[in-house]
Amino acid sequence: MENILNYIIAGLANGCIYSLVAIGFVLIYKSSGILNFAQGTIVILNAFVFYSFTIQLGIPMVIAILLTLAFGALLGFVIERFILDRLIGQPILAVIILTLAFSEFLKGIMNLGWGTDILSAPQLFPRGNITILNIVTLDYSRIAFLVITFFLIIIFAIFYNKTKIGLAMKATSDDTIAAGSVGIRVRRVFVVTWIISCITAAAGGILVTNVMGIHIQVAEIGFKAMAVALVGGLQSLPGIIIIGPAMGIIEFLSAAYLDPLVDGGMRDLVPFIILLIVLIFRPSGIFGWKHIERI
Amino acid sequence: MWRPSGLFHVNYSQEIAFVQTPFQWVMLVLGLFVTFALPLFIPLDALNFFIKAFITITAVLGLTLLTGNCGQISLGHTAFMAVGAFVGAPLLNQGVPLILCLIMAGLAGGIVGLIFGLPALRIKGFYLAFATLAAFYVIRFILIHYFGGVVGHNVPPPSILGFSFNSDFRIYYLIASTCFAMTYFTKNITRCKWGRAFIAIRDHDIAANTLGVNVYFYKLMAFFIGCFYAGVAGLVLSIYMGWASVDHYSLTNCIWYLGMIIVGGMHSISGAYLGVFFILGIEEMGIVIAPKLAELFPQLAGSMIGAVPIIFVGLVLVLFIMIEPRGLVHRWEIIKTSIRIFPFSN
Amino acid sequence: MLQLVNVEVRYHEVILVIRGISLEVQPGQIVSLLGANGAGKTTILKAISGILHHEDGKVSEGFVNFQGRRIDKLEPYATAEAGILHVMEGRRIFEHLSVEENLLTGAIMHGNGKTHSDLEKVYTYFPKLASVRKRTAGYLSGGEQQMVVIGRALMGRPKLFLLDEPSLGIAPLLIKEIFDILNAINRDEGISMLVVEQNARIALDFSNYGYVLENGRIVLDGPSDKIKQNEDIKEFYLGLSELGSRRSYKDFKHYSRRKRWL
Repeated sequence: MENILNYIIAGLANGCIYSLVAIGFVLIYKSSGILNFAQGTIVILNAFVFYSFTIQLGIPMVIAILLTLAFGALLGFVIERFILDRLIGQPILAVIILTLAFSEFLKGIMNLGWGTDILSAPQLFPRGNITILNIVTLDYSRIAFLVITFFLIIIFAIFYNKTKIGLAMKATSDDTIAAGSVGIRVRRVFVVTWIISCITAAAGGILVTNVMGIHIQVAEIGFKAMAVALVGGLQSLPGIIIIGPAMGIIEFLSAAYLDPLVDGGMRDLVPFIILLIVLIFRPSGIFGWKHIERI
Repeated sequence: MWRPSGLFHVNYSQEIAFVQTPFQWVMLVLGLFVTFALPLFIPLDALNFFIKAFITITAVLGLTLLTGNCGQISLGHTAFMAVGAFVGAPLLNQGVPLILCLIMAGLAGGIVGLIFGLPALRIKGFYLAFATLAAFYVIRFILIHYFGGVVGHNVPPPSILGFSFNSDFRIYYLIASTCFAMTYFTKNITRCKWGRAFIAIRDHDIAANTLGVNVYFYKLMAFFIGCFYAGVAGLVLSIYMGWASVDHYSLTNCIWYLGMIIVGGMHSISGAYLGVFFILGIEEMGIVIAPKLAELFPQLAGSMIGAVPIIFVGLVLVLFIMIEPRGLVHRWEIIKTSIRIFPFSN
Repeated sequence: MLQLVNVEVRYHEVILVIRGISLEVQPGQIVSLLGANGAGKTTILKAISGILHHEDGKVSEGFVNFQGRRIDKLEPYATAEAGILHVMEGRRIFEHLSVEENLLTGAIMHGNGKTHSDLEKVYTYFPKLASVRKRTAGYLSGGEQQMVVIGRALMGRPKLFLLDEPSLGIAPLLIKEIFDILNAINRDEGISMLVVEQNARIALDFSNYGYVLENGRIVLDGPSDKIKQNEDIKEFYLGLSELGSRRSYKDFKHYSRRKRWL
């Protein structure tokens, strides 16, 4: 019993990060119709940059975090300006391959810059754990995950629902041309979307590598987050915020109870299996909009 | 291609003929002759490049049919190749004849492709791309856990009628012949009813359905055929490597394959050839340049050899899709037309 | 105020849709554009508001002037900022936003200062909207959606409205209501309007001046009352041939021949 609770809490903490990363590319998808397959690589690139700032350059933690977020924002701006510009209106295959090729390119760069060893990320939170009622053991970093992602999502929700630019983003994602016709600067909205997306990626990168270590393979978190987004329904932000933790929990439980049956590795597989099943039965995801197509 | 102006088809069999003009006959015979005489004149390095290219073309032709012609994006192509290799390699080990092994590998790839193509009946676009990516991971997991994927299988040099393919020189002929056989097969599919159905589905599946194309059947068949190619190519690759391991069938390769069909121009066979040679050429350039760069930047030397080709190909693909998303064939058509109508071109 | 001088519009650089059109909207005036399907009415509005750029179309000859400034190269947001609000065909509301959010999107380009009073103004013109302000706009009826779209444009403090088929798919009673409100807006706010309509009777009753388009050319223009008196307009747009008498289809060919204007 204790074990199950522990797995659930750990899964919850991990799943929150999936939600955080997923929000990033769902925003991009909603506003410009582009699914960014490079998101996971951007997450890990930010983690590497954070590593360089703290360990290699010795910048104090708080400033390094801010610098990494700033780097994420800059990256988003550059990608929007130089790549996205050409992508709108291109066939889907070209978009997919461009983002994937860009992701491979970034991986090559990271391989050059930081090598292929697993780097240990700087310690963000003190080690140790607390035990509640002798049932649940929580280590500090998991608690911090939960709290931080929770706060980030709240901040994001406020930004998205209460500010003018959030309103402009919503309008743009509904109907780009109509948004332009009421005086919204659509290109500027795209830039902001990419910047936010890359900042969430940076935050996700800093958090996730804190437990997993920094390695190019961690980029697969992007694919897992994408599975979360597709299961939740690509257009639905609440759906993603719900599905992320759920997916995390299922992942940890299956790792605990199914792994002995198939000698390991279920953790990385379960999201994809769930995705395949959901896509067959509910093609637009659990909370997604039905897409009506006319000839 | 290569048809001068003023020459028209006057009936349907001319329209769909495999070879349309005497000049094309000449080119075809010449091309075959050059390909088969090539190993006698070029060094081993270059030969290996051509072997790799022909294996890749075999795989990419499958994608040309599946993605280029039928519009179903597959990010799991290399996984289906791995399936082919993992079915074919044990069979080869037990002395099953090579041709049979190739067919079995193709069928295995095709059937697995059919299963993982099922989501395509309900989804498309980004969703399908990601579903096939999920398929890639699922297949990889199964191969690693139940078929000894990481260690893999030893593949003995196969033989036909006592002729053993035990050197690169000999394997070249096996691979080039497989590739040409598959090319012929592709050409035949694209010019028959099935090919037209595929194109109709790519352009608009619902519209195709209302016109009487059985979309479900043809989508699944596209997956079956496309993955059949993958299976064959996978086994051929493992024969060349002498070893079948999941590490030979990475996601990166799959991305490059899709990049090749875009660079080539999506739905034409010549596009597949052009794309493969172009991208492999870039990759080769990276492999050649990497050691020289390593000398310039000794502190980065360790990861240079692995990273530089990927950076090269990734960058070229990104730039290519940004600048010429319709591919080399499109550019080639423009050049050809402007030469043909010279001096009236602008 | 708005001037189109010899404007030619091409799509994809080859398809010539508008073949040299000149028209003018005076301050405070309501101008209507009439014409059959495919005559190019909507394209003219898109050329003015700049939406043409999103459809691979271009003003290839001539120019569009708004208050002495050339605007045919501007993006839609820039023309909106200049004071031209395009109410597009088919009620392009933001379906997943609430009514109030829809209205507020119109004010995004302005500062926060007067947003609230603007909102109140929209609700006084469209009292119906005030009662559904929290509803998701996608679930509204067609007439209410049209009101939302017009209200949203009003939030942008326009000097000129481009209205594209405001009556499309709306019940006759509601059409009258909407046009009455538009009239009131024109009277009280002094906003000029350029209206595209299939429903010629409503459009001519509503406007001061009219242009008739055919195949990308203006074939007739004049004050609305005059146009209403034109025999051909009566025949082909208003359906009033020899009032009350039954039409004989024997003469059908003769009519279609007569319809060639140029």
